[in-house]
Amino acid sequence: MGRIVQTNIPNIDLGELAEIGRSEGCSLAYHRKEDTLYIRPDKPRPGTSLDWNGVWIRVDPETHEIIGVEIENFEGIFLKKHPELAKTWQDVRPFVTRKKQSRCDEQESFLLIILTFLRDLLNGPRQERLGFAPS
Amino acid sequence: MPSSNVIQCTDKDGISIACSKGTWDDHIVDEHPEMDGLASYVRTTIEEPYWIYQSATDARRKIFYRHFVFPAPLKLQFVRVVIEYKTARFRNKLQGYVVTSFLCMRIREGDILLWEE
Repeated sequence: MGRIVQTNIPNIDLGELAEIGRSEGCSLAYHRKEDTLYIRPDKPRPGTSLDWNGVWIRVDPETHEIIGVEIENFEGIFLKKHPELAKTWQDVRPFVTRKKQSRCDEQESFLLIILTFLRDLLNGPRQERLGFAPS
Repeated sequence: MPSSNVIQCTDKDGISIACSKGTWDDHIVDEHPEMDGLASYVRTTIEEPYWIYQSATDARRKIFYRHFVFPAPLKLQFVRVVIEYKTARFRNKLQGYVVTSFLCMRIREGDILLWEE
């Protein structure tokens, strides 16, 4: 029996990615056991996720606004594929835990770095097929 | 069912699957607030999936998918459940543990299809 293999994928503006890092209500969390990095709003917001090569973009299901990012296998795979981020991550890692905490300068800088990196990484020829709006 | 498990069920191969309260509260719901109150959907996805994939990055993990229609604004969404299978030390028996679960708009590319309903 045929099954639905995807929902209606909205157009998502990747230009928003760097902006969520500039928002005061957004922070980093790293779950070491699951090796997953989260960029998420401080005030929990329900969302749904859209994947790109191990990176999940979290969007508001109603407005399709980007509200966060989830990177699985962050140290095990993602940083190995993108070693240019590894040094910066090592500097900020001691300040990033799974517990909610106020942002420090190191977190703020890394947040901007990684979101800008992701925006540029996702801005490629595959983006339209994956539902990302061309910038 | 141990009081520390939010979900205790079996997959279609009869292997026992559990999701601890700690994983549910501190990981799944904390990082995916839309999952609050959706434990029964996760359980159904494990027991009666539409697709089962082998993780392309971890040999011990399988990924279960099933879609549901939720109230607006979520509407049609996939429930994705990642399960890690381990042999329990003292019982020498394979068991599965929910690693994470959340809603997504489609099945992730790159994993290996094992079974389809």
